[in-house]
Amino acid sequence: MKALVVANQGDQSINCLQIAEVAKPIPTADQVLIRVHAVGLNPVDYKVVEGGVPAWTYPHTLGLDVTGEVVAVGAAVTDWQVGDRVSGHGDLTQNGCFAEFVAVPTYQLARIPDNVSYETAASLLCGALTAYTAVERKPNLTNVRTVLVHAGAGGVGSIAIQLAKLHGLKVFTTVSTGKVKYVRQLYPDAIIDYRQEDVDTRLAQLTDGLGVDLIIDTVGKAGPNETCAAWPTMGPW
Amino acid sequence: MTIVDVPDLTGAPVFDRGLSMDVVNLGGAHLSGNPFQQADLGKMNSEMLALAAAGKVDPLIEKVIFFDQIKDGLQAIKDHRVIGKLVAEID
Repeated sequence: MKALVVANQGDQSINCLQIAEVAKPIPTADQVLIRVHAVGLNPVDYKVVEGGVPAWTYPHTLGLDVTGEVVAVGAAVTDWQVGDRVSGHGDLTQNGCFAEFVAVPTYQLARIPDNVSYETAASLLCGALTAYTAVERKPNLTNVRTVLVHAGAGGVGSIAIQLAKLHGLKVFTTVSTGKVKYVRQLYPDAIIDYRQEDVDTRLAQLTDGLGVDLIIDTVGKAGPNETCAAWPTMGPW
Repeated sequence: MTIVDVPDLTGAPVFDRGLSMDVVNLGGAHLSGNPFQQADLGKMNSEMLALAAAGKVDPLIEKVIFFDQIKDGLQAIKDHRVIGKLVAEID
Protein backbone atom coordinates (compact mmCIF):
# COMPACT_ATOMS: atom_id res chain seq x y z
CA MET A 1 0.00 0.00 0.00
CA LYS A 2 0.95 3.66 -0.39
CA ALA A 3 2.26 5.44 2.74
CA LEU A 4 4.10 8.61 3.75
CA VAL A 5 7.16 7.34 5.58
CA VAL A 6 10.28 8.25 7.48
CA ALA A 7 12.53 5.80 5.63
CA ASN A 8 15.59 5.79 7.89
CA GLN A 9 16.48 6.62 11.47
CA GLY A 10 18.59 9.64 10.48
CA ASP A 11 15.82 11.24 8.41
CA GLN A 12 14.91 14.03 10.81
CA SER A 13 13.42 16.71 8.61
CA ILE A 14 10.16 17.19 6.72
CA ASN A 15 12.17 17.16 3.47
CA CYS A 16 13.17 13.56 4.10
CA LEU A 17 9.58 12.28 4.08
CA GLN A 18 8.82 9.98 1.18
CA ILE A 19 5.79 8.34 -0.35
CA ALA A 20 6.65 4.64 -0.44
CA GLU A 21 5.11 1.26 -1.02
CA VAL A 22 4.89 -0.64 2.31
CA ALA A 23 3.17 -3.81 3.52
CA LYS A 24 -0.52 -3.49 4.37
CA PRO A 25 -0.81 -3.90 8.17
CA ILE A 26 -2.45 -6.98 9.66
CA PRO A 27 -4.62 -6.24 12.73
CA THR A 28 -3.67 -7.99 15.96
CA ALA A 29 -6.39 -9.54 18.18
CA ASP A 30 -7.49 -6.23 19.73
CA GLN A 31 -7.12 -4.09 16.60
CA VAL A 32 -9.20 -3.21 13.57
CA LEU A 33 -7.93 -2.51 10.08
CA ILE A 34 -9.15 0.82 8.71
CA ARG A 35 -9.31 1.85 5.06
CA VAL A 36 -8.27 5.46 5.52
CA HIS A 37 -10.50 8.20 4.09
CA ALA A 38 -9.35 11.48 5.65
CA VAL A 39 -6.53 12.34 8.06
CA GLY A 40 -5.80 15.36 10.22
CA LEU A 41 -2.44 17.16 10.08
CA ASN A 42 -0.97 18.48 13.31
CA PRO A 43 2.24 20.17 14.49
CA VAL A 44 3.16 17.00 16.36
CA ASP A 45 3.47 15.19 13.01
CA TYR A 46 6.58 17.12 11.99
CA LYS A 47 7.87 17.48 15.55
CA VAL A 48 8.18 13.71 15.94
CA VAL A 49 10.07 13.57 12.63
CA GLU A 50 12.50 16.25 13.75
CA GLY A 51 12.87 14.88 17.26
CA GLY A 52 12.86 11.19 16.38
CA VAL A 53 11.02 8.53 18.36
CA PRO A 54 13.16 5.73 19.85
CA ALA A 55 10.33 3.19 19.58
CA TRP A 56 10.02 3.53 15.78
CA THR A 57 11.08 0.84 13.36
CA TYR A 58 11.86 1.87 9.78
CA PRO A 59 10.34 2.68 7.43
CA HIS A 60 7.95 4.37 9.88
CA THR A 61 4.54 5.44 8.58
CA LEU A 62 3.62 8.90 9.86
CA GLY A 63 0.18 10.21 10.94
CA LEU A 64 -1.96 10.17 14.10
CA ASP A 65 -5.49 11.37 13.33
CA VAL A 66 -7.38 8.82 11.28
CA THR A 67 -10.88 8.47 9.90
CA GLY A 68 -12.12 5.73 7.65
CA GLU A 69 -14.03 2.53 7.31
CA VAL A 70 -13.38 -0.68 9.23
CA VAL A 71 -12.44 -3.38 6.72
CA ALA A 72 -11.23 -6.16 9.07
CA VAL A 73 -11.40 -6.86 12.81
CA GLY A 74 -9.01 -8.75 15.10
CA ALA A 75 -9.99 -12.06 16.72
CA ALA A 76 -10.83 -10.49 20.12
CA VAL A 77 -12.79 -7.51 18.77
CA THR A 78 -16.52 -7.68 19.51
CA ASP A 79 -17.80 -4.09 19.50
CA TRP A 80 -16.73 -3.07 16.01
CA GLN A 81 -17.76 -4.40 12.64
CA VAL A 82 -16.66 -4.24 9.05
CA GLY A 83 -18.30 -1.16 7.51
CA ASP A 84 -18.26 1.01 10.66
CA ARG A 85 -17.30 4.65 10.00
CA VAL A 86 -14.73 5.43 12.69
CA SER A 87 -12.16 7.95 13.82
CA GLY A 88 -9.32 7.85 16.32
CA HIS A 89 -6.22 9.60 17.61
CA GLY A 90 -3.29 7.21 17.32
CA ASP A 91 -0.26 6.35 19.41
CA LEU A 92 2.80 8.14 18.02
CA THR A 93 5.08 5.21 18.81
CA GLN A 94 3.17 3.02 16.32
CA ASN A 95 2.91 3.07 12.53
CA GLY A 96 0.40 5.76 11.58
CA CYS A 97 -2.38 6.68 9.22
CA PHE A 98 -0.79 8.70 6.40
CA ALA A 99 -1.40 5.58 4.34
CA GLU A 100 -4.13 3.67 2.55
CA PHE A 101 -4.68 1.41 5.57
CA VAL A 102 -3.85 1.51 9.27
CA ALA A 103 -4.36 -1.02 12.09
CA VAL A 104 -5.23 0.51 15.47
CA PRO A 105 -6.36 -0.75 18.88
CA THR A 106 -10.10 -0.22 19.34
CA TYR A 107 -9.95 1.75 22.61
CA GLN A 108 -9.27 5.01 20.75
CA LEU A 109 -12.14 4.68 18.29
CA ALA A 110 -15.49 6.43 18.05
CA ARG A 111 -18.27 5.94 15.53
CA ILE A 112 -18.71 8.96 13.29
CA PRO A 113 -22.32 10.21 13.34
CA ASP A 114 -24.06 10.08 9.95
CA ASN A 115 -24.23 13.86 9.65
CA VAL A 116 -20.51 14.35 10.35
CA SER A 117 -18.10 14.05 7.41
CA TYR A 118 -14.82 12.15 7.47
CA GLU A 119 -13.06 15.50 7.02
CA THR A 120 -14.75 17.07 10.04
CA ALA A 121 -14.10 14.00 12.19
CA ALA A 122 -10.42 14.03 11.11
CA SER A 123 -10.09 17.62 12.26
CA LEU A 124 -11.46 16.91 15.75
CA LEU A 125 -8.78 14.59 17.12
CA CYS A 126 -5.28 15.58 18.31
CA GLY A 127 -5.85 19.28 18.99
CA ALA A 128 -9.56 19.04 19.74
CA LEU A 129 -9.22 16.14 22.19
CA THR A 130 -6.37 17.98 23.90
CA ALA A 131 -8.72 20.95 24.29
CA TYR A 132 -11.47 18.61 25.44
CA THR A 133 -9.22 17.17 28.14
CA ALA A 134 -8.20 20.68 29.19
CA VAL A 135 -11.82 21.82 29.60
CA GLU A 136 -13.94 18.73 30.23
CA ARG A 137 -11.63 16.37 32.13
CA LYS A 138 -8.82 17.96 34.09
CA PRO A 139 -10.28 21.08 35.72
CA ASN A 140 -13.04 21.29 38.26
CA LEU A 141 -15.20 24.07 36.82
CA THR A 142 -17.07 24.67 40.08
CA ASN A 143 -16.84 28.39 40.77
CA VAL A 144 -14.76 28.97 37.63
CA ARG A 145 -16.12 32.06 35.89
CA THR A 146 -13.27 33.28 33.73
CA VAL A 147 -10.89 31.44 31.40
CA LEU A 148 -7.78 32.63 29.59
CA VAL A 149 -6.95 30.65 26.44
CA HIS A 150 -3.52 31.39 25.04
CA ALA A 151 -3.25 31.22 21.23
CA GLY A 152 -6.99 31.11 20.64
CA ALA A 153 -6.54 30.83 16.87
CA GLY A 154 -4.61 27.56 17.19
CA GLY A 155 -5.87 24.00 16.87
CA VAL A 156 -6.18 23.51 20.64
CA GLY A 157 -7.11 27.07 21.53
CA SER A 158 -9.93 27.43 19.00
CA ILE A 159 -11.71 24.35 20.35
CA ALA A 160 -11.00 25.30 23.97
CA ILE A 161 -12.72 28.66 23.40
CA GLN A 162 -15.82 26.97 21.97
CA LEU A 163 -16.02 24.39 24.79
CA ALA A 164 -15.57 27.05 27.47
CA LYS A 165 -18.29 29.17 25.89
CA LEU A 166 -20.65 26.15 25.97
CA HIS A 167 -20.14 26.15 29.76
CA GLY A 168 -21.15 29.81 29.88
CA LEU A 169 -17.68 30.87 31.00
CA LYS A 170 -16.25 34.29 30.22
CA VAL A 171 -13.41 33.60 27.78
CA PHE A 172 -10.37 35.77 27.16
CA THR A 173 -7.82 34.84 24.53
CA THR A 174 -4.38 35.99 23.41
CA VAL A 175 -3.47 36.14 19.72
CA SER A 176 -0.99 38.01 17.54
CA THR A 177 -2.20 40.99 15.52
CA GLY A 178 -2.77 39.02 12.31
CA LYS A 179 -5.13 36.57 14.01
CA VAL A 180 -7.43 39.00 15.81
CA LYS A 181 -10.00 38.97 13.02
CA TYR A 182 -9.84 35.18 12.66
CA VAL A 183 -10.46 34.47 16.35
CA ARG A 184 -13.37 36.92 16.44
CA GLN A 185 -15.57 34.31 14.70
CA LEU A 186 -15.43 32.24 17.93
CA TYR A 187 -16.90 35.10 19.97
CA PRO A 188 -14.47 35.21 22.89
CA ASP A 189 -15.45 37.84 25.46
CA ALA A 190 -12.11 39.61 25.02
CA ILE A 191 -9.28 39.31 22.50
CA ILE A 192 -5.86 40.40 23.74
CA ASP A 193 -3.39 41.26 20.99
CA TYR A 194 -0.21 40.43 22.88
CA ARG A 195 1.94 42.35 20.40
CA GLN A 196 0.04 45.57 21.06
CA GLU A 197 -1.15 45.23 24.65
CA ASP A 198 0.28 44.24 28.02
CA VAL A 199 -1.39 40.92 28.86
CA ASP A 200 -1.26 41.34 32.66
CA THR A 201 -2.69 44.86 32.56
CA ARG A 202 -5.56 43.87 30.30
CA LEU A 203 -6.40 40.80 32.41
CA ALA A 204 -6.41 42.90 35.56
CA GLN A 205 -8.94 45.24 33.91
CA LEU A 206 -11.08 42.37 32.66
CA THR A 207 -11.23 40.62 36.04
CA ASP A 208 -11.39 43.65 38.35
CA GLY A 209 -7.99 42.64 39.66
CA LEU A 210 -9.13 39.17 40.72
CA GLY A 211 -7.08 37.29 38.12
CA VAL A 212 -8.40 34.60 35.77
CA ASP A 213 -9.81 31.43 37.32
CA LEU A 214 -8.50 29.01 34.70
CA ILE A 215 -5.60 29.42 32.28
CA ILE A 216 -5.22 27.08 29.32
CA ASP A 217 -1.69 27.49 28.06
CA THR A 218 -1.27 25.95 24.61
CA VAL A 219 2.03 27.72 23.93
CA GLY A 220 4.39 26.95 26.81
CA LYS A 221 7.50 28.75 27.99
CA ALA A 222 8.23 30.21 24.58
CA GLY A 223 4.89 32.01 24.51
CA PRO A 224 3.87 35.56 25.39
CA ASN A 225 2.44 34.46 28.70
CA GLU A 226 0.77 36.23 31.53
CA THR A 227 2.79 36.39 34.74
CA CYS A 228 1.55 35.18 38.10
CA ALA A 229 0.04 38.65 38.59
CA ALA A 230 -2.77 37.46 36.34
CA TRP A 231 -3.35 34.23 38.28
CA PRO A 232 -6.36 34.04 40.58
CA THR A 233 -6.05 35.90 43.83
CA MET A 234 -7.28 32.70 45.52
CA GLY A 235 -8.64 29.35 44.45
CA PRO A 236 -10.84 28.77 42.61
CA TRP A 237 -12.61 26.58 45.13
CA MET B 1 -3.67 23.90 32.46
CA THR B 2 -0.47 23.37 30.53
CA ILE B 3 -0.10 21.49 27.26
CA VAL B 4 3.32 22.05 25.71
CA ASP B 5 5.60 22.00 28.74
CA VAL B 6 5.65 22.43 32.52
CA PRO B 7 6.22 26.03 33.65
CA ASP B 8 8.86 26.97 36.19
CA LEU B 9 6.86 27.63 39.34
CA THR B 10 9.88 28.67 41.43
CA GLY B 11 8.82 31.61 43.58
CA ALA B 12 5.22 31.45 42.32
CA PRO B 13 2.60 31.89 45.07
CA VAL B 14 1.11 28.42 44.51
CA PHE B 15 0.69 27.56 48.20
CA ASP B 16 -0.22 31.06 49.40
CA ARG B 17 -3.07 31.32 46.92
CA GLY B 18 -4.10 27.67 46.91
CA LEU B 19 -3.45 27.31 43.18
CA SER B 20 -3.07 24.13 41.16
CA MET B 21 -1.50 23.16 37.86
CA ASP B 22 -2.44 20.31 35.59
CA VAL B 23 -0.79 18.84 32.50
CA VAL B 24 -2.60 17.58 29.40
CA ASN B 25 -0.80 15.01 27.25
CA LEU B 26 -2.97 12.69 25.14
CA GLY B 27 0.02 10.51 24.31
CA GLY B 28 0.35 9.76 28.00
CA ALA B 29 -2.97 7.91 27.89
CA HIS B 30 -1.75 5.70 25.04
CA LEU B 31 1.45 4.81 26.84
CA SER B 32 -0.11 4.48 30.31
CA GLY B 33 -1.00 0.82 29.91
CA ASN B 34 -4.11 1.78 31.91
CA PRO B 35 -7.14 0.45 30.03
CA PHE B 36 -9.49 2.97 31.70
CA GLN B 37 -7.36 5.95 30.65
CA GLN B 38 -7.01 4.49 27.17
CA ALA B 39 -10.75 3.90 26.85
CA ASP B 40 -11.35 7.55 27.72
CA LEU B 41 -9.66 8.52 24.44
CA GLY B 42 -12.48 6.81 22.57
CA LYS B 43 -15.12 8.20 24.92
CA MET B 44 -13.87 11.78 24.56
CA ASN B 45 -13.75 11.25 20.80
CA SER B 46 -17.43 10.18 20.84
CA GLU B 47 -18.41 13.15 22.99
CA MET B 48 -16.57 15.56 20.69
CA LEU B 49 -18.23 14.08 17.61
CA ALA B 50 -21.64 14.43 19.29
CA LEU B 51 -20.93 18.15 19.79
CA ALA B 52 -19.99 18.45 16.11
CA ALA B 53 -23.11 16.53 15.06
CA ALA B 54 -25.21 18.96 17.12
CA GLY B 55 -23.51 21.94 15.47
CA LYS B 56 -22.02 23.09 18.77
CA VAL B 57 -18.35 22.87 17.79
CA ASP B 58 -16.79 23.92 14.49
CA PRO B 59 -13.27 22.62 13.79
CA LEU B 60 -12.58 25.52 11.39
CA ILE B 61 -11.18 23.48 8.51
CA GLU B 62 -8.91 25.73 6.49
CA LYS B 63 -8.20 23.42 3.60
CA VAL B 64 -8.63 19.84 2.43
CA ILE B 65 -5.56 18.63 0.54
CA PHE B 66 -4.54 15.42 -1.23
CA PHE B 67 -2.31 12.63 0.03
CA ASP B 68 0.70 13.76 -2.01
CA GLN B 69 0.42 17.26 -0.49
CA ILE B 70 0.77 16.15 3.16
CA LYS B 71 4.52 16.82 3.16
CA ASP B 72 3.96 20.40 1.95
CA GLY B 73 1.11 20.74 4.43
CA LEU B 74 3.36 19.83 7.35
CA GLN B 75 5.93 22.37 6.16
CA ALA B 76 3.19 25.01 5.94
CA ILE B 77 2.14 24.22 9.53
CA LYS B 78 5.76 24.50 10.68
CA ASP B 79 6.17 27.83 8.89
CA HIS B 80 2.97 29.18 10.54
CA ARG B 81 1.40 29.64 7.10
CA VAL B 82 -1.81 27.83 8.17
CA ILE B 83 -4.58 29.16 10.41
CA GLY B 84 -7.27 26.54 11.00
CA LYS B 85 -7.18 22.81 10.39
CA LEU B 86 -5.49 21.03 7.52
CA VAL B 87 -7.08 17.76 6.48
CA ALA B 88 -5.91 15.37 3.76
CA GLU B 89 -7.96 12.95 1.67
CA ILE B 90 -6.30 9.60 1.22
CA ASP B 91 -8.57 7.88 -1.28
